[in-house]
This record gives sequence, structure tokens and C-alpha cells, in this order.
Amino acid sequence: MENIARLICKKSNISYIVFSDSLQVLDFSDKLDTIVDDFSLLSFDADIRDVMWELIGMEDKLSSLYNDTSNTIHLPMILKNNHYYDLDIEVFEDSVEKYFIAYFTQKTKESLSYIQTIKEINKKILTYENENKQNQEEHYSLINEKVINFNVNKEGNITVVNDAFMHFFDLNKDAIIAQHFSVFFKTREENLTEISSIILNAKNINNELISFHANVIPITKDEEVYENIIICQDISYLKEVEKELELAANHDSLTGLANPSKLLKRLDVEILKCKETLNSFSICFIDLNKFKSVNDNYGHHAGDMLLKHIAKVLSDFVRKDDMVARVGGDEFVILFDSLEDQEILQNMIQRIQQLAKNNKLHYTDDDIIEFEFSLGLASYPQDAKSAQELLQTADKERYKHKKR
Amino acid sequence: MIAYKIVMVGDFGVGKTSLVKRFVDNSFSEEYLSTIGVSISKKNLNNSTLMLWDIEGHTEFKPIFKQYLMGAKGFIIVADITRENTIESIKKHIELCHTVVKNAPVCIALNKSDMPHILDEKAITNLKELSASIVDVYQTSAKEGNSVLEIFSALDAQVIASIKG
Repeated sequence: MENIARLICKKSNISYIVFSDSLQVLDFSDKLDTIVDDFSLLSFDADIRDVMWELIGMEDKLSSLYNDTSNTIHLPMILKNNHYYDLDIEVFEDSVEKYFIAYFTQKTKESLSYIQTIKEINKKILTYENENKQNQEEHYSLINEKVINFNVNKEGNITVVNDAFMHFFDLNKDAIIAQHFSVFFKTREENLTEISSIILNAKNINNELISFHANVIPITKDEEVYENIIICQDISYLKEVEKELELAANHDSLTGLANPSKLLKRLDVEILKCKETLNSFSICFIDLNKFKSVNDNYGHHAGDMLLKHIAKVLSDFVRKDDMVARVGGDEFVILFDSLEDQEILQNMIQRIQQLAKNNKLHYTDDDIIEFEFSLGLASYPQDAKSAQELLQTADKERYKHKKR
Repeated sequence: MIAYKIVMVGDFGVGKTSLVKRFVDNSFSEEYLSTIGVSISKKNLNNSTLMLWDIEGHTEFKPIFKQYLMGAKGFIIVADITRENTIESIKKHIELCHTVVKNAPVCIALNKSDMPHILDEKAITNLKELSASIVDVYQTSAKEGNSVLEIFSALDAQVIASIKG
């Protein structure tokens, strides 16, 4: 029976050691020189723990196994002399006694290939983690160059600044640290405690006023805020957005002239001014004659081009403090600042009519579009008491001259 | 001489093998060679023979094999001081060790301390409070040898005291 077991083990490339419950070696196979930890000590009656270090500390587990309270001890993937083995320990019982058999099964080539793949994956994960960390540091460095941030203590004095801060003000660290943040930034708030965001304004080295939206991040120690990190985002572009919105709200989108809303506001301002100074001003209501035929004959694009052309002609004609507004499809109004003299106004009417004659639209090389105006004048306070009334009066005057 | 088993436990890539190599052979390699399975080394220290089980590190897709922890007299839980996630894993490594060997003494190695890191004293104190079985927390460097002998000596002293006690 023992010989058969030996033959099976040899054929299956399994090495084994048989040992007693007192942990003394009873028998062993050949080819154990690369498997046991100290081959020189491998002999009959040797302590198994001297040649198999895996069993140091396993005495209680072996005892359980011997007493049938556990089935087997399985330790996989033990590396010995660059080879991997699985170790299995079982109890064998014949008619005389019980003893342990420790089997060493060398891992197959396929298993080793799998192990190599796992090693490569682990190495790649670690390399990726390291590279990712380095990339993050580079990204922080780039942010540090572009986004101003600094720390202030409870009193608002600066304790830390980054490169972007020093570059913005063209100052070195020594000139900044310990100064109150308000030395560099203008704001309504003097104290940053219990504020999560704030608007800061500062002039850069080119003396341009830059607005920042700043996030205030408290740093706590023992649940008490001892510093704040301030991260500033340039919001100057919002001022441009504000300008665009203001333009859209008060101007005609086709011609860029003031729209009725802006004209009425200006008329109200001028009326108030006149009430205080007892001065006068006038408006001229302008209607484009036969505009419908331009659209019908040349198309709407030509009509739009004509309106834009007229807007430019009128804008070039008026003085700096006058205003030209588009108040309807083919209707315009000119506000003549501080002008009431009827003789001068009549002269203006003639000049505006002349403008139409002298500024025909060259729509294409072959298509020259001529145009004429109907005009109506009204002056404040002579002709009306309010802005609306003034416009109505000028429109009525214009209507008298309208050619359809 | 008293021979006993110590197991090195931690996430992969934290330097468990490097600590063993520094302690056993006084050598170090920059190349990362992932440990698969287990490699057992022997080192005499004072009147003890330490059997050091350098086991495969824990990864997201492969947990630590509990059989390797059986019969250990003490554990060294290793983390990479520059990788926060490996420090966060310490707690569950301790819990795992204690499910196999209840109340076994544990030393924590915050390895790679030669590299830039931001771990402060408070964080280290918090680590010490993770378990009553923690002997101490060491900022080790397998590369430069810092605190390597100290951590094994401290664990040895604790193990010997508990065996004799």
C-alpha cells in the first residue's frame, strides 16, 4: 500500500513528508531539496518545524486536525526557491497508528502564467496611481499659477500666498505676508469670519480694476476656525455680460440705435432738467416714406439694410449730446439737446431731407435705393407737458407731411 | 530560542516585502515586484527566531487569504504613508487579523516615510487608538532603514512578554 502511494506521488510530481503527532519526521519523498526550508536537517526523527517553517505556530491547528476536529490544512501559493507550491496536510490512519502527511504540489505552468499576469496588473495599478498623483501635483501647480489664493488668520492678516497672488500684484512674499488683506483688495467686508463667499476688487500691475468672486474656506483646529483659505475667481467678464445685457435692453437689435424705452427715459431726464433750468429741447419724428415698396421690390433683406443705412446716416448727422432712436418699423426720433430756436429747427428739417437725397443706398452695383422722410417737430415745454405728449405732437406734425 | 510566526499585512504596494528584505538581508530594491501567495523568511532577533510571513497584499479584487494568518503570534500592519487609502485600510486589516488570532499584538508601519507626506501627529494618535492591541505606530522607511529594526524589536518584546506572561 505504501509503495503504491509512493508511485502515485512520484507520477503526479507531488512531494510529501510523513510526520507523527509529536511532530517527528517518519518518512519523506525524494526531490525535497528545493522545497523544505533547511534540507540539511531533513532526516528521520527530525522536528518537522525545523525543515518546514510553515508549521511554526500551527501546533494547535495540527492538534485539531489529529483529533478529527478539522479536515485538512490548506496553504496555497507558497513561494520557495522561485517555485510556487500548494501545501496540504492531512491525517492518515492505518491499523496501527495515525500520522500526518504533508503534500507539496508544484503549481502548473498555466498557474505560473496567471501569477505573472497578476503581478503585471498590480505593477501597472501602482504605476498608474503614482503617475496619477504626479499629474495631480502638476495640475495643482498650474492652478497655483493661474488662480489667486491666500490664507488669512482670524484678524484678516495674510499668512500664506500663492504664485498667482504675487504675480498679480508684482510683489514678493515678504511684502505681502502679515499685511491685512484689505491692503490689496477693496471690499465691503472687513472681517471674513462666517462668510462663505465675497466680492473682492483689486488693481493689477497694469492698473486695471479686476473683480473677483472669492470662496472663503475655514480651516478648523479643535472645532475652532483659526484661518480661512480665500480662493479668487476673476469675474471681470461678468461686467462685459452686464454691458451686453444693458445694450440689449435699451437698444434696437437691428440698427443699434436707442429703443423706445431708452428714448422715453432720456425724455424724462431732459424734461426734469428743463424744469430746473427753464431751458427747452426739441424732437424730430422721422418716418421713412414708401418703405413697404422697398420690402416688396427688393425683399426684406434690402429693407433691413436700408434701415441700418439710415441709422448710420442720422447718427453721423446729430451732435454728440443729441440722441437718435428707432421707435417703430420705419420710424425714428431725433432728440435735439437744448434746441428750441424755430429758425434753426427748420434749417435742421431741410438738412435732414437733404441727407436722404445725398445718401442713397447702393444695395448692389445695379440697385440703388432712394428714400425720403416725412418729418414732424415738437419742442418742450412749448408743445407738450410730458414725454408721451411730446412724441404724439411730433408724430401728428409728421403725419401732415407723410407721402404714402 | 523561541520561534514564532509574524505576518506582514497590508494593501498591495505598501512595502511589506521591502521591510522584510531590509530587516532580514539589510537590502533594498527600487523595483516593485508584487508578492503573490506567501514567502516565508527567518530572522533571529535577540533570543527569538521570527518566522516572517510576507503575504500577498490586499487588492480591490483579491482579499487577504485568512489561512495565512493562522498561528501568528503578532502582526505588522503596513501602510504607505503617501497613499491615504492604504492608511484608511489599516482598521479593517487589524479587524481581520483579530478574527483569526484574537487580541494578537499589532505594530503599525507607516512605510515610505522618506517620501513627502502630510500625515500629522493627530492622525498618528488616532491610529494608535484603533485597537488596544496596538503596540505602537512607526514611520518606517525600508529604503533608508528608518525604524525597521525598532518595529520588529518592539513586536518581539511584546510577543515574548505575552508568551512568558
